[in-house]
Amino acid sequence: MVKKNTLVQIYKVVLDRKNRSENLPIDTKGVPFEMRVKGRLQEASNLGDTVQIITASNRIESGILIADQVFYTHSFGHYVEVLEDIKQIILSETEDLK
Amino acid sequence: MSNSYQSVMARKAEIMKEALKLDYDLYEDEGIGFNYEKMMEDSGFTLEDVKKIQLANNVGKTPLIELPRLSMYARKFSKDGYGARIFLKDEAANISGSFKARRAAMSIYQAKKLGFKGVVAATSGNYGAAVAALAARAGLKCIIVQECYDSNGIGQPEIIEKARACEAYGAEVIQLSVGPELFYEFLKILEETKYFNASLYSPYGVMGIETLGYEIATEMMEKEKNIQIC
Repeated sequence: MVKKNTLVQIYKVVLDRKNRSENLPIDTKGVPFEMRVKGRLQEASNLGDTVQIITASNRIESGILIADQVFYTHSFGHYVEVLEDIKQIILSETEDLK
Repeated sequence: MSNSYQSVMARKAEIMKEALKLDYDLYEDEGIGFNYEKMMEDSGFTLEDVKKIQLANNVGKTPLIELPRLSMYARKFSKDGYGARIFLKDEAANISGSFKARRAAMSIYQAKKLGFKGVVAATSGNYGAAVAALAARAGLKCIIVQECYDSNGIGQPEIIEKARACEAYGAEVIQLSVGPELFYEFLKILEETKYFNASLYSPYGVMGIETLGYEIATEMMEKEKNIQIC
């Protein structure tokens, strides 16, 4: 159970496939148009429940509760080998500069 | 009032007019012409005004740094007597860390002047962080609408990083999956909140960038006669 007032993330289908814009590539048209947004949970709920949150701008938004104790998991990605090669070339070419 | 895709898009002109207090139709010329100069003139800000507003917000007058080692490196490969002096304008020194703060400063100033309680911008990059930072400084609410996720719910790391920055500045970030319907969601939010449209492409967003060229030109003319800006 996720407590009331916890910072959570919700998910909502804004437009299902049928109601999306007409001018879309076929693969885009085949999936719904979705939204994720964070805010404070208004009532104690379980993951997967349809809930209401209050967002940072004090809007009420509703959707499926997908995460509590939201944190960031993005990274700088894998090491790019070609950049290391370029760095080595530049360093060797600049060795004799005063 | 229906919020279907077609209905909201049909209200586009009126929502945009209300959220910017500007009527683009006034500047339409016959055919495909558009009177850009007149629109900018009517905005009521001079370059001097823009400079003052930006400086009051820790925006602009960024350091111009000479990169002598890079200049020497370039000369190693150029004909004798050729090879430029290379400088860098450090726009990361602006509040929020990019030149987009120049644009955001003017949008936020206009929103505040017109009495709006908040601003909305559709952006997945540095402009979002700039609007969020300057809105926080001005005491305005801020909503950033991003195109972020693919259909498997995988977000682009650089866009999530911008969301993190916007949220740290106190903004609400609406993260959408890919598609042109971002504009539909943006219109719905403008209509619901009655906030200002802090678009990159309003006259205010556009005029904010003009001080950058002015600064580079005046600072460089003190150092060199022949300048190439890129």
